[in-house]
Amino acid sequence: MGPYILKRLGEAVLVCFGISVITFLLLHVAGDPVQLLLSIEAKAEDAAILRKSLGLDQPLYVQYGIFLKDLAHLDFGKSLFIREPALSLVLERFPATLQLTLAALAIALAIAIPLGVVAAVKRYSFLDNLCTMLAVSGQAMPIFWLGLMLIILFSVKFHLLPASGRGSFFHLLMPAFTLGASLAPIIMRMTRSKMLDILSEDYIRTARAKGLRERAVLFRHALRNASIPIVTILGLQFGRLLGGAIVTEAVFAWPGLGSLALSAIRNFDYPLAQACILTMAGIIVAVNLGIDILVGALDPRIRFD
Amino acid sequence: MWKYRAGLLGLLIVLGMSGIAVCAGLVSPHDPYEQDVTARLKPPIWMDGGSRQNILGTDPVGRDILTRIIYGSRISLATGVASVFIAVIIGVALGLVGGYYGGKIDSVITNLVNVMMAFPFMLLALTAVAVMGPNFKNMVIVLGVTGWPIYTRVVRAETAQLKSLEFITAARAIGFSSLRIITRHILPNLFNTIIVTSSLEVARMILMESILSFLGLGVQPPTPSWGGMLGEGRTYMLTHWWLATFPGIAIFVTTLGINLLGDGLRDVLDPHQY
Repeated sequence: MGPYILKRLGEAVLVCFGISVITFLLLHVAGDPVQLLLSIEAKAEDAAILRKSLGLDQPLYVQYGIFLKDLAHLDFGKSLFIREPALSLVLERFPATLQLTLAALAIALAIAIPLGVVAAVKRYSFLDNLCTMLAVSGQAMPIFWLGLMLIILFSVKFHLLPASGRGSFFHLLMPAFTLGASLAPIIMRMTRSKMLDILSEDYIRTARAKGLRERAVLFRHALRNASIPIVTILGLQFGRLLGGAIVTEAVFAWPGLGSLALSAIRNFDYPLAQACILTMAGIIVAVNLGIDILVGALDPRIRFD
Repeated sequence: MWKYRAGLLGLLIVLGMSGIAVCAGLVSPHDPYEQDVTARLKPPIWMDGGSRQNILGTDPVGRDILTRIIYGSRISLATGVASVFIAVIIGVALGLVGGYYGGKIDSVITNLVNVMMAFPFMLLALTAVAVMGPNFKNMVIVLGVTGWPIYTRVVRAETAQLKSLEFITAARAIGFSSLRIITRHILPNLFNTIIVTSSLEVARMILMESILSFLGLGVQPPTPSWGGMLGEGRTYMLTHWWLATFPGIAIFVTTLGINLLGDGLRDVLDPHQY
């Protein structure tokens, strides 16, 4: 297990390094922060002063070196507009996004796993077709549109749920469902396809032959084995979940990391944008590393792959 | 059989939408930019106050919603196809090189794919478009340049598999160059996979375009785009629900059609997967 963890850890560090390079290049080379920050009428001298005060007059590799050094100290610099350390702003918003994504994940799993299992067990039945149709429709649904329709229905028409903000349990329902619905179709299709693979395995036939009840066959033997690839897929989809959180937070004015990132990007507040991007990417890498290690522990075959 | 029928339905939707996009000038009842302050925020035809002239109603400056949806299909389909085209070229080329040559270059490419996959795609696209300037061209470039890793992953895996097959060994034994083997022997065997993957990706890119435009970082007004219309309609959501509803239906139907077609293509072209 040790070498496997070390190998995965090494890969994660490499990926983090790559992410830091891309983020840096994106914000410093693809666009000029000084030009984006100043108005068109700004004088060249003002631009030069701003460039110098932000340290942007240094050669690129020096800038990247400073950026990396600060990163190692978890210093993302100060937000250009809010004038507070970017990291503390990110940490302040993080719990809201964590709450939203975890609730969405729970909803997605609660919808997708039972439907996926039913679809696989009743293969090609009306129920299977219905589940597939639901999944295909869910995948085609623009997440922000679903959010807006829910607001129109439950807030505007029936006055049942609050349309925006964070606070009570009821504030969480619509955003979490919206985000969860964007993830559920993929998990459902994955569950169905893995369950179909597993249900045709010899050990399932053995389990049935020795007289186990169907429920035990399905849940104790089939679903438990299907859960490993499902968890792996969840890790790979985690980026999509966080990306979806940006849009969901924008629709429901949810005060999380996503809306912070969006406003930072819109205002060209690049230290804050940098902090948001690196935090989100770091979370994705950490989640995948955790899942890899967990899956490796559960299934020794993966460690020797 | 059900799947084939669904695929056929997808094909019909895609053909219909493409037809509408190409003939937008012929099929739309009004000019998409024509404002009419006397006809602001008119409801759809079946509601009180609706008129036959504006079947789906009008927006806050009196432009016909149906017309703008019809013209918006151009932006959506063009973004989907153009960005996928860019992504396919980059992704397939890297996948072929990585899978065929293996070794160091392959590990560099694989690591690059891992880095790109760890990035929240949405955040990457949003930032890149914001930095480069939000307009149609930059949006297509950004979506194309950030959307390639999925092709590299698929193509690399299949190339590595194909490489060990006898017909490739034979081609090498005859003395064919690597370039010829890759382009004439390996690439044609990957067409099915590439077609299926890219058809599903077109739908994803259309959704991405709508999100970017919705957030104000995609196609800029007054150019009609579905996401942009939804963004505008959002302000009037409490009183005029149709503004945000119909463009969303257009996005939904189009991506549904493309996904159904993509799934159908997979069943036809690549039956062993299911």
